[in-house]
Amino acid sequence: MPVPVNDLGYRSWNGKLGSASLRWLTIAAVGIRIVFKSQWIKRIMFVAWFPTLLVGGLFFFYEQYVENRDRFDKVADSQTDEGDPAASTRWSPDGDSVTDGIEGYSQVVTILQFFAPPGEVNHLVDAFSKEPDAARGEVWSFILLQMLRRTQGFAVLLLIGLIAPPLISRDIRSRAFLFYFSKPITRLDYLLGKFSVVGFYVGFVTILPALALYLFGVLLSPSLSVVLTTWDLPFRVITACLVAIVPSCLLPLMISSLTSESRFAGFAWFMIWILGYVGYQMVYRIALFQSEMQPGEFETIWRVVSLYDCLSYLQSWVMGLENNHGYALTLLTFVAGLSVFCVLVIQRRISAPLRA
Amino acid sequence: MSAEREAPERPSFYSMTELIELNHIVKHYGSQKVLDDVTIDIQPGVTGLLGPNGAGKSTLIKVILGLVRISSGNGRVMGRDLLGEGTRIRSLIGYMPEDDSYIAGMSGVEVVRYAACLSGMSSLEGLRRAHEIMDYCDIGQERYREIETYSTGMRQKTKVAQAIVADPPILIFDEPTSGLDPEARESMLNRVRNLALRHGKTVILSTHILRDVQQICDHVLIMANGKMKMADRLENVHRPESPDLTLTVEGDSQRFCAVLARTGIVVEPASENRMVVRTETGQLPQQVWQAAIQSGILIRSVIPARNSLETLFRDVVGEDARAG
Repeated sequence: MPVPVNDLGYRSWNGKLGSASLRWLTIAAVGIRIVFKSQWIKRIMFVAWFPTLLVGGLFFFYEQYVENRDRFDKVADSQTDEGDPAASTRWSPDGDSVTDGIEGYSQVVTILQFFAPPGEVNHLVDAFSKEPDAARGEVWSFILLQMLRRTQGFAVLLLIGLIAPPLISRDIRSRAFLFYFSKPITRLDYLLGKFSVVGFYVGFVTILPALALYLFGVLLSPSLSVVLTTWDLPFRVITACLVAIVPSCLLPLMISSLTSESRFAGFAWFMIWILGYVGYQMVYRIALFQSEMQPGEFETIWRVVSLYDCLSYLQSWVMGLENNHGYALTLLTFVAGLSVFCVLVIQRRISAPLRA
Repeated sequence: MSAEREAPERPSFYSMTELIELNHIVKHYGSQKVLDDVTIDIQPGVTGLLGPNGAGKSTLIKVILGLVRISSGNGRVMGRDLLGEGTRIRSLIGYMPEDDSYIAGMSGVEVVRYAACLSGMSSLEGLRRAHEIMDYCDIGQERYREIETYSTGMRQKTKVAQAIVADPPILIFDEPTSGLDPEARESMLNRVRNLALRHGKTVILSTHILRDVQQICDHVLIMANGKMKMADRLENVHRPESPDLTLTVEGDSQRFCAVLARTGIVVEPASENRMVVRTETGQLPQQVWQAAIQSGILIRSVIPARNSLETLFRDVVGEDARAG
């Protein structure tokens, strides 16, 4: 009697199905795999780590500075004795450095000027002049924040702009909702899965490098005891990144759910980000021009116009570098409201094809 | 939620007589009533769901899947409540949508594997099962091509594969033979029939093609204007109200007709040698044979009259349209 090599008939399946609470992970994993096929995404992710290397240099510089602090102190003391007691630690943003002639501080200022925005250099120089054990947390927070801002300025913007717009709009176009929702998953699973796709890539270029930088800083520091004074930084970094990731991923997903053309969704995302930034910068410059305010002191509700500036401020606050809690909470409320609004719109939009 | 709780119980197919039970279901979209007091009991076997466009078939399917919230009424799918157990119900149902519903950028096997994983299988088991089911659905090496490049026939097969990959006890196929050539259509219908007959699946076949229903269904549901106009076994639908016979004769058919008429049988000539005969006495076959002997003609064929599903469908839908 011939034995069939391969039975092509239907066979029942009696295995055990997995937990329903983790099905969103399937959507996320498949989405991540599809997105990773894009060469552009790979290139952007590669480039997105450059700020980490650059800012990693600042970590190295600070720890070198701490190790050779005695030499700097001697130079600084001699200058302090000669005149202005603040001269050793102050630097004015217009370039008229009162530390000219002091070799060590000139180098510090020059390097910090390269890394930090003009409005924040003084703050950083002050932090450099403090005792390392007291200032290390503040300096590291500052350095990590610089990394996040630089990455968010271009890589995150591009990554989100390339990944998020097609995620829902393509499902609308290919009528994939019935495929998804005829399976035992909920709308929340779908949303969580799609969100995780963008969140994964954005987290990969923000949370991961920031934590790597922190580890780098720990390894460079003179003693592992620095962990005791900076233990909160990894948590602050993760929170700061999540504060930025949640609204900046939900917003393009919401736009994506409004159209079946992903390019329109992508265009809308870039326009919201760029025009918001330009609009806020105009308000900011005009306000600085009209008043005697210093950069960094300008706190207005108009900041919500620019998602970048709004999230940057909140990240500074989470990292402990901004102390105006009332203002930060106002911005946080706006961001939370925006996120909830996006979730509601997405839920409604993904339900619509099922009702049709 | 534990795996044990979520994994759908698979009650013995034969232990249940009413797998899907809907009672007085009403569904409104705004002011429009799309389902109007629908009550059905779907039993094991293949059930054909017929109705013109806009009859409410798709909405009824979505109600069964727990995807749309009903305005009133209640129902159960394999004992699960329609109102609060949508996710669990969907783990018991495999659905093949009518529209091309695919995930762009994925190959056929990836789509089927994805469906398996969304149903709760592990990634590796999902891949193994996807290959197994694609073999069954007669999808060869094409399974590795991106699904956007598939022909209509291949897409239909892939849709069937994703519906059955998790081996659910209930299958809902929406227009499975649409766009298929005769050979592929026959193969698809055989596959559907096979799933019901040999593997105990309860199949709901939503279609416009009456021939498909006649060919493989045990039960038929006819909907129109959101109402369930008819629900019965197909054999009952076919059973004629009067035992008419269609005869084909050879010889003097006029003399034969005259003899039949004298015995009280109503004769309706269809062509020169064909006629439909009818009587109220219930002795029609014997009377026909006696008349044939008397008139000396040869009877070539005797075909008992059957109600045509097409006629019935037209009557039911037409009646509703007239009433509307």
